[in-house]
Amino acid sequence: MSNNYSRAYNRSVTEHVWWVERDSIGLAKFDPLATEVERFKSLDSALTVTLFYHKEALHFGIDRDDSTTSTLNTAGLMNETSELPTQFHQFLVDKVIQLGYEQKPEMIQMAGYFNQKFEKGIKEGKAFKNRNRISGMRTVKQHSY
Amino acid sequence: MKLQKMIDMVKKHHPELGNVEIIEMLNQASDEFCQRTLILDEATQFTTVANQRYYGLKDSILEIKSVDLEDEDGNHLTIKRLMGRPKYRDLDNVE
Repeated sequence: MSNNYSRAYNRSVTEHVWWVERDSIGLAKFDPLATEVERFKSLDSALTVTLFYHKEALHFGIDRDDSTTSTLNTAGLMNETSELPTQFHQFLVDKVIQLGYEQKPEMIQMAGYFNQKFEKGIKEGKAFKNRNRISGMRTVKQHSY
Repeated sequence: MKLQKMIDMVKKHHPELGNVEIIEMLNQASDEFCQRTLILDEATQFTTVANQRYYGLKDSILEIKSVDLEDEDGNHLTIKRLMGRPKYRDLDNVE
């Protein structure tokens, strides 16, 4: 009887594998029948790799992936918008207001109020993510809120 | 919401803060929001170099969900993630 597990337990198939190490992705061809030293071989030709990943939003005024520009770029800066969906922009403002109140000991209690608003945004963000832009039947995933 | 409007809203509570300081805090808030919700997804492509095993990842990548590799026929297949790392490293062409 064939089942979905047959491939996973086939120890004789040579296949490509990936892993993450030292902020880099490693790619190799795995041969389970080779000796331990020869078991992983680097790819010997130019192949296209597609990475699918979660990422942070681009910073305002800074190209974070370009190490040559570490200062704020001011041209057109004030018209920039966050990459996050628009319904979550207000929560970023709430967080900054919270951080501002944390610097004022006489108004520290206000920080808690705005922190609650930001935490509400986190919950809504996780719910938005789990909905996956699909209505109707949903897959329920375990999550710690 | 444009950055100018966000700054104006913050300044209603904290007029003493400068624009640069507010922008840095907005970036900090954005990072925390993305790290905790994993709300943003993206895909990117690159081409491997013969006999190079490691390829640097952008700082903005939080979690890799899956990896596709082009096969000899030009099809893109999802490849498996290795738990841990190979016992023997290939350190040629390390970035």
